[in-house]
Order: sequence, then C-alpha cells, then structure tokens
Amino acid sequence: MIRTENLTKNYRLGQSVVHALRSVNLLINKGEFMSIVGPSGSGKTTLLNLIGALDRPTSGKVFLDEVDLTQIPERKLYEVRRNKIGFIFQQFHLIPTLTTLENVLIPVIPIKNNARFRDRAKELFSIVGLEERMNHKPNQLSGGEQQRVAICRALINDPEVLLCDEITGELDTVTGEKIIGLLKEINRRRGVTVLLVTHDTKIASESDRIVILTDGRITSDRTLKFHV
Amino acid sequence: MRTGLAILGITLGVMLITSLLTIMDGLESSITNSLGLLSGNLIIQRNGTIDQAFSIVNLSLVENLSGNPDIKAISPEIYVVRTLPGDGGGVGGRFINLIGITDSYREMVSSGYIKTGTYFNGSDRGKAILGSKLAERLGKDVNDSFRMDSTDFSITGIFETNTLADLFIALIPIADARALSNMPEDKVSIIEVRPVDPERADAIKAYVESNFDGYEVVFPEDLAKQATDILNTLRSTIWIISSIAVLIGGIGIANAMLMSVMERTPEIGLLKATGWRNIDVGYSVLLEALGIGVIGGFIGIFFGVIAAQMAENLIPALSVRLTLITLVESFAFAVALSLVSGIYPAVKAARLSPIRAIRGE
Repeated sequence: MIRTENLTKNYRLGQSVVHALRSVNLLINKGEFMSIVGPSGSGKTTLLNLIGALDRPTSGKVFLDEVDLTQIPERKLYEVRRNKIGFIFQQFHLIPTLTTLENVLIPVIPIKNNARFRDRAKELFSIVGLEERMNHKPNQLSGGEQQRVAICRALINDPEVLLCDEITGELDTVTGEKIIGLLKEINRRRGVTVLLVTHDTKIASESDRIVILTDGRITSDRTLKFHV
Repeated sequence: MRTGLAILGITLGVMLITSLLTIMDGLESSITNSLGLLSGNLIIQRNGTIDQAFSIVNLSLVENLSGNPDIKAISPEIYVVRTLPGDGGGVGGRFINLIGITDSYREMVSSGYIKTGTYFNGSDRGKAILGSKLAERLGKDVNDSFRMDSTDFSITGIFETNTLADLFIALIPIADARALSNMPEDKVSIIEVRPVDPERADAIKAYVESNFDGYEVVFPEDLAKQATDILNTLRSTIWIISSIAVLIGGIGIANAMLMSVMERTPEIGLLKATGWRNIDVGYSVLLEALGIGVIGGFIGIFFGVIAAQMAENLIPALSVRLTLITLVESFAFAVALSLVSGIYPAVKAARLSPIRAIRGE
C-alpha cells in the first residue's frame, strides 16, 4: 500500500519557484492498476519519482507499506529502490553494449549470490515472450521488444510496485497497447501494484483507476473498476 | 576510443619506466662487475691524467717499486686507442683500446680471465687477446687474425669479464703497443699495481705520491663508485621523467573516466534507480579505471622490454638487464596511478542524483 500525506515538491527554475506538487494526498491499494494523467508539467513524473524514492519531497510524507520513505537516510534508500520498486522509463534506458539478459540482470549485480536471478530472468523473458532474444543486443530489437526487456528488468527483484513513466511514449499505438496488456497481465497474475503515468487517455482508460493531476493538485480521482 | 587513449597514455608511461629501468639495471650490473674485476688494483699515472691513453710514466718506476713489501705484482701497460678496422670511427663505441702488456699482467687479473685460448708470451710479437664481445663484433675467434696499422695480430685467446671491457679492449704484447704509439723505450702509459693486501692500497698510494714527483695513484674502484653515483642520480632523474610521463597517462585516465561518467550519466542514473548503492556505482567506475591501468601496464611492460632490447641492439656498449623488481615497480605504478586517477570520477559518479542523472542532466 502506498500513501502520500500533504506531499509537496517545489523546485527552483532560475529565479522562479516551480510548485510541482501541492499537498497531494493519495492512497493506493496493493495490487491496484492506476493511471496518473495530466498535461505536461502537472507533476505526474515528480509524484512517481517521490513514490519511487528517487527524489525527496519539499514537505509531506510518502508511506510505502507504512514505512515513511522521507525518514529513511539517503544511504539506506537503495534498499527501497532495490527491493520494493521497479521503474520503467519512456526511453527504456537499456545499456546498448550489454545483451538483453545482461540488461535485465543489472539491478542484481551488486547483490551477493546473484546467480539465482538468472533463472528468474529467463522466466521473465518467457512471460514477455522474448525467450528467443535473450542474447541479442538492444539495438537488434524493436521499440516494443526493448520496452518488454525493460519490464523484465523492473521485475527482476520481484518488486511490489511498478512505476511506469510514459512507457508507451516512444511506441506506436498497437505496440503501446500490447505493452499495457502485458502489464495488466502481470498486475493480475502477480498482484504487483502498477502506477502508470501517461497523457494518453485511451491507455489510461485500461486501468482500474484514473487520477488526474493539474498544476500539482489532484483534480479528479475516478475508480473504474474496484479492486477486490 | 577515449578508453583507448587512456590505455595508450598509461602504456607509454609504463613503457618508458620499464625500458629505462631495464637499461639502468644493465649499466649498473656492468659497473658492479667492473668493481669485482678490478678488486684491489691501483693505477699509477701521470698527475692530472683524464684518459689513461694520454698518460706517460717512466718505466724505471717499476724497478723502484719492485722491492716494496706492500706490492704483490707490477704491470707496466701501454694504451693505444684506434678505431675498429673497417669502421669509419666516430660515435657509438666503435673504438678499440689496445693495451700492451707484459707477462706480469696475468697476476693482475683473476684465474678465469681467459675464456678460450691462452695467453701469449710477453716477448711475442703480433699476438692478441680480445674481449669476447669485441671478437664477436669483428667476427673473429682464436687463431684468426686482424690487421691494425700494417701490423697483423693473430688471436691467441678471448677474455670475458662481463663488463664494457669485453667490448673494446684487446691485449697485445707491450712491444707492439710501443711501436703503434711511438712510445719511447723508457716510458709506458701507466703502471698497474696489485697490493699484497687491499688494506695496504692507501699506503702504496701515499708512498708513490710522496716519493715520486708528477705521479698520481688512482683506484679504479673510486671511478666505478663515481660511476655508480652518477647512475643513481640518473636513476632518480629517470624516475622523475617517467613519473611525468605516467602522470600524463594518469590525467588521460582521469579524463577518459570523467568523460565516460558524463557520457553515461543516464546509465548511472538507471543503476541508482534500480537500487545500486553509491558505493556500487563508484566501485564499478574504479574497477574500469583499474582495468585500464592493468591493460596499459601489461602492454607498456611488453613494449618497454622490446624498446630496451632495441636500444641494446642499436648501441653495442649497452647491455640491458630485466629484473623482477622493474616489472613489479612498473606494474604497481600503473595500477596505483589508475586507481588514483579513478577516484575523482568514481566519487562524481557515486554522488549523481538518480533522477537528474537519468534525464542526462
């Protein structure tokens, strides 16, 4: 379960202060498939980064399983990022010199006894339908395939939450829909909470719940399908 | 590409260190061997002589010294310097030092002095004993002969000392040397004296210098020690020069690592976003720098040894000596340098903020 409490984030842009988030209160249940939509600059990505422990709020709190992330010192935050969170980005961020399998194993390189993750990676490859492409380099893959590799990488540590930042932004509509379908399946089968930042309303309509952010505030919070 | 340049930088530095140290060690061992060879002999020469070939002393001094209880043996010698037959002369050690000797020379050197062949008799004419490397350069062996100023010399033996002497010294009968140098009958170049006891060397020196005007007594050991001192200075200089070269290599590494960190800022951001600790990120950058150092070190040592060998082939007077210490020093230098140069980029990478890095800021 994720809970934010008066979550506020300001940052400086030249002389002026940008209010990226203004006192956001949000409760996200475990296993939910939620979209965060809104125009660019509305604070979607900022919210995602704060939940994913990549950034610190100006004020307010973020609870992940009732643990306040804002109270965890920087040097300990890696544990949250490593064990609870899986990030997927718009630009995939695969390392071009590594094979897709090696890319998927990147998060576990610093972990001791990481040999066991190899089998898990292979299992994930078969879930996303890329078992034939494990030894390819990213540039030999299509955009959709690369994003599926990135999904495998996000799932390698069995996270509770998948944070997806405009992940269909670089893909055509059909491929984008397939990726969302894959995420829905992972959400349903594994009970992983999925937070989807998008400005594509069609993709958002696939989710259980849509939160609309405008100027750093939640202006709409609709549940389409109740989570049981 | 940048990594390649960094490796090249380290390679050149290590190559310089390895080759120069190898050459230094060769020179040093040559000097040390000379020291061992010369053990205890004194040279009486004209006061103020720089090169023994220009010294002239009275032969009568031999008679005057012969009763001295501190002296075991006396060897009058005439030095003649010529260029090698067939050579144009000039640089590169292409000269030959003909030393005219008598039978008493045998008491000046150790018993294993002659490697192959035999001594000639002091009264012989037209005989020679060549240094082993000189013989090699001339392509001559025992019983061959060579011509010097219209005199034919047949080779009776080859000596080996493992010093520079092997390269340019030929021993000939003193009468031949006298003829070659037009030295008057009552003069010789120098008189070499072997003391009964090395401890008595100073007493002999004092005796000669106080009783016979115009002479000085030198210890070849002193010369060798001076040479060793010079070598030590040279060694420090070489270290400094090499350090500068390696420092440049180090800046190359640091630069390559920094650029690589900047270039891969989004990748580093990703590593952090997926739960890499700062120390994991820094460690991976440091490891890469270390890899550059190890590879550069290996290549540098390889080419350094080759360069030293080439120098040896080009300059015959040079003998190189590769020691384990040189290898270890060069390699350790490369590794240490790469680590030091990697620290700043590693810290910089470790401190990147994950979200800013991933956006490539």
